[in-house]
Amino acid sequence: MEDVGLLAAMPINEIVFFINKVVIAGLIIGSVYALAAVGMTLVSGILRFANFAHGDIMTLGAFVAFVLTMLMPGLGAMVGLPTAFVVMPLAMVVTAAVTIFLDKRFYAPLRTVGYKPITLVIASFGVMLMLQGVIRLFFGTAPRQMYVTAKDIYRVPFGGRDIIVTEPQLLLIVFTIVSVVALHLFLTRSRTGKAMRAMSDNADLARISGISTGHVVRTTWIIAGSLAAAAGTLLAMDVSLKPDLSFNLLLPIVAAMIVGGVGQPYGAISGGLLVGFTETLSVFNWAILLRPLKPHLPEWLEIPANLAFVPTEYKLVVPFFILVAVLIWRPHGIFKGRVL
Amino acid sequence: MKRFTRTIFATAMVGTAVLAASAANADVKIGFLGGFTGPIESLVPPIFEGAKLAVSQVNEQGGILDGQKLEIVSGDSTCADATAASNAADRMVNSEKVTALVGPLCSGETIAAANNAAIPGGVVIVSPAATSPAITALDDKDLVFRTTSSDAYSGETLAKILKEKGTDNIAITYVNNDYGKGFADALEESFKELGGTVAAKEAHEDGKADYRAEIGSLASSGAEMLVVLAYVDGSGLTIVRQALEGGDFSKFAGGDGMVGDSLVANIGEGKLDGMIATRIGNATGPGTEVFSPLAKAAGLDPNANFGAQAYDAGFLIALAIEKLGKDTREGLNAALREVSSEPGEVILPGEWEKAKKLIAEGKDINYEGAAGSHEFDEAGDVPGNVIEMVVEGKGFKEVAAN
Repeated sequence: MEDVGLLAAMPINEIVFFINKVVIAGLIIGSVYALAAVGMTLVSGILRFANFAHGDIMTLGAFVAFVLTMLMPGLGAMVGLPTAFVVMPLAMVVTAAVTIFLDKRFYAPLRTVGYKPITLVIASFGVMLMLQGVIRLFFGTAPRQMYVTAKDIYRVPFGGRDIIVTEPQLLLIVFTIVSVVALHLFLTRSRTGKAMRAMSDNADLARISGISTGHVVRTTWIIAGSLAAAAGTLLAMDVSLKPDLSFNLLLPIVAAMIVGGVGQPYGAISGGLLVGFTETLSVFNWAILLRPLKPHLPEWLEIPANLAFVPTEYKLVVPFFILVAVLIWRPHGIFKGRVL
Repeated sequence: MKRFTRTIFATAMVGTAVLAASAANADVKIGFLGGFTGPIESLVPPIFEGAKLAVSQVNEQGGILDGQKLEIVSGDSTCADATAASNAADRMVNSEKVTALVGPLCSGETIAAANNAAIPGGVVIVSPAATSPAITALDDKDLVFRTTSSDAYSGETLAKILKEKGTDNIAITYVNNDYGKGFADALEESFKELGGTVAAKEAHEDGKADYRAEIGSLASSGAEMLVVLAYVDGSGLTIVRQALEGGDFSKFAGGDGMVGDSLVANIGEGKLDGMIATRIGNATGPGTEVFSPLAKAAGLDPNANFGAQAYDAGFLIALAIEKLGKDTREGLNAALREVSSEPGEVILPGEWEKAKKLIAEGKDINYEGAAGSHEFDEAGDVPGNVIEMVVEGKGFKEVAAN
């Protein structure tokens, strides 16, 4: 009898709210972090420096996709997908080319002279500021919409409330899964992939055994640049496109990379999802799950209106905490990466 | 040596002549402060023109006091930078030695200028545009007035409307600045007084790409309606759109910052029907009707944002100086109250000659301005004319004047 009573009291509504706000939201932001962190961790592993311009390369990729969308707005309707998603592969190619150009112009000269990694890190700050300036110069600071038409919203009725996923969110999750699988196959099966792993493990040994460093470096930038462009475009489709879109995500992305272990692509993916879920869990208001239990609780126990761990304004401190905790207790990250 | 002496002598002569001339015909000087540079720089010139129109009318119709000229000097108070506003006000009060001030315009700079220069110097300031309720509570020795209504009235009116429509439990999100915070505080206070519940009241930063975390937190409070006190072209639109997309709220209300047709145009017709908002309406009264042709004749737009309020501020200060009978700072606030409020013979915009004559005869006057009747209350505020708006079809429609 008591079981029936408890079952009736099951807070379906609130559980759906939890799924929407924590599970789906965490999966979405986690996927963005993962896609961005993979590229950043590959660069860090192979070229031995943290590329702080990575966030703005994401923004750049999104703006390239935006320009292409504006040039061919009708393209998406023909395929039945959003135009921005259809032109995304092209944006990825352009962004990859830009990253190779940036490497040639700014990082390669420093590398050949044999400067320490910290010099390259500072150079990447310069590239970051430059990219931000160029983007603002051409596009201004106003937010823009990546969608030509209204975006589709899928509602799955579940009890009294719907589970809600929008079209760009679904595309983002699917794209992340596909690219993770593809990356795994590339790194384990292809010659270049194996060479990349070898170089990440020990650059000198790899060079002695006849691996072409130039080729590996180029491939690394192509992967990093195109995944960054995809992450930026998909994020901009989900929210809106702004010049500071991904700069604000740089910290969680770095946290994801370090949590996963620097130089470890799988680590970056799990780190990205971990940081994403931690963020959504920590700003979630747990009071909403407790409220339906109110009739079963003793009267003296008041449920406060807000029971979140962190107020939403301070969401950005969560990755900071993770970062500091990992650096103190597990400096190699989950997957035994290198220490920067 | 001889030549030197001659030069000195000549200079002294000229100087004395100038001094004598200015003593005989000393101008009465008032100041204008506004953010000529900064975030509202495009709005300031028409406001300044409004104040200048009042001054030129005074001069055309016989001048002030004993036929002296009224002069207006301007300073840049920057809107956003409190230090710059204090410095500009300090210059007005202590170097230019103005009798009274029109402006500043933004709420933050008005508070800074009042506290750091005007109140210590005993100078009356009449702001035509500062709407923050914080100015009401200023310890101003009865020196700070404004010719536009406080957001507190909008908050109060919005609370009343929501309650009348049967809304009992609201969540408020406001843009984190003087406007948003003042409005939100006023709304919360009035709504609670009327017996409603404010389940959540949270600030947000303008201009972010994503507000889903904030909306989630607001939705978890269990409120039935979301009140968005932000700007429609900034965070307001994004919040309403994401709240609708996420199914977090279906009922919305907003302040004057949300009243813009771009809201419905961007979200889609029919999705926001019934959304309530308030707006500070144009005053209706004899003064407004008289002002429109006057402004047009002077080449100004009578409906320019706060232009009429600035005209009134300038005209009221001139009337107060005339009433006081001398060009001093003391007693000007009392004179300002006398010329602006009932009882008394009604003076409309542009009627300087008539007002001057009545004052000379010792009669009481009551200025009915271009932007309202300006019956200042104890805090130097004027009651607002807040209009209820509702979304219907393509955009907002007026419901009724309150």
